[in-house]
Amino acid sequence: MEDEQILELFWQRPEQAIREVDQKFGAMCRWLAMNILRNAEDAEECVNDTYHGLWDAIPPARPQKLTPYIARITRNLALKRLTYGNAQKRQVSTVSFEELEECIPCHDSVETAMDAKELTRTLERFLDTLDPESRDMFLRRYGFFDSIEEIASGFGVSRSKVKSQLFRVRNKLRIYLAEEVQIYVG
Amino acid sequence: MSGKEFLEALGDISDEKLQCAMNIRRRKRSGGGVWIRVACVAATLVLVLLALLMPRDDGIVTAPGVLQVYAYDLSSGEIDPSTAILLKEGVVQSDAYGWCGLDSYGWGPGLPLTLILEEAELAEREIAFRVSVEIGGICYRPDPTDKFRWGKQFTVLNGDTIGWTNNDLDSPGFFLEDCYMDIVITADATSWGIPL
Repeated sequence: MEDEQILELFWQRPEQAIREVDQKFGAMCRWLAMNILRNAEDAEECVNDTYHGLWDAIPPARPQKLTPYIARITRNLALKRLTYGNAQKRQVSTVSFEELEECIPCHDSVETAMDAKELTRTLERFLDTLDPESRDMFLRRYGFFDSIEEIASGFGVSRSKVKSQLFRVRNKLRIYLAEEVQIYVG
Repeated sequence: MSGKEFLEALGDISDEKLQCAMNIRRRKRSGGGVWIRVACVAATLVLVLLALLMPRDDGIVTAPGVLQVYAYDLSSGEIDPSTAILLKEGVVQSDAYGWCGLDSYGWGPGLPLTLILEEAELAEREIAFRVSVEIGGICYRPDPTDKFRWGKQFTVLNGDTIGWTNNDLDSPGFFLEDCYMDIVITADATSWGIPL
């Protein structure tokens, strides 16, 4: 079923809308939730929460593109669940978190200089400076929490190439953020 | 701001970029690449078959086996599971392993590698490895795509640690910054003379 038709179902409110979403986007939601939560039970609950969230949001929302819209809901819910889980179990955060923390020049200065929205805009500008492959690899790793192996397989390249490329992007990001913070603080 | 909050902000970037990244599927390798791979696989099969069929009079069994070479990061004292390298019988070569970065954000030159062959019969025996290093992406060189290759033969006791110094890699005007190393470990298992 086309995205437009699914959206129309949500507006008409039959429960078939959820079944259609599950059929078309269920695998993507499970994959993304599993990538973040690493637990099948939590991931399944997260997917169900995604559908509830979607049901509540549409209407009034009428997203242009359903795939990123749903992915964003799943991602946010999974991250929220991960925070809760970490607080409960005192788990170590995922590797992706640690890798990115290296890039933030000085945590306090970024926080002072930029709010979340400004940071998103800065990231958006930074991503525009990258070549498409580096940008997609970066997003797969830190946007969708893919493992190095999954990224290498997806792009048809070696793991070492993925690591090298991500390393360079992180370095660029570190420099880019440092400059941006200087602009804001200055 | 933590890495996690940062990641949350990353989730709010535009639909177009997210959609683009979502759409990545296994990319087709170039035709040449595919044929090279097919040829490599075929050559390997022929070699394995020849090794299996050749008569032996020295009591060495040469059925395919697997040995493990681990590269340990001694600075952290931990083994990165992704550095486990499977070595099969014969002259074998590991996958290229990227040691990213030569500054405070990554691995440095002189990186210690502990090579261990987890095979009881090789304990405390001398084993020969060839470690070849390729360095690329040096941003301060005139051509950032320059690659620099270097290799060294190590003959060490099983379990010994090997390393190299800056001088082995460095050259005038050569700044080891913002680059990566690809390390390939090669070993000739047939010379060890043990049943695998």
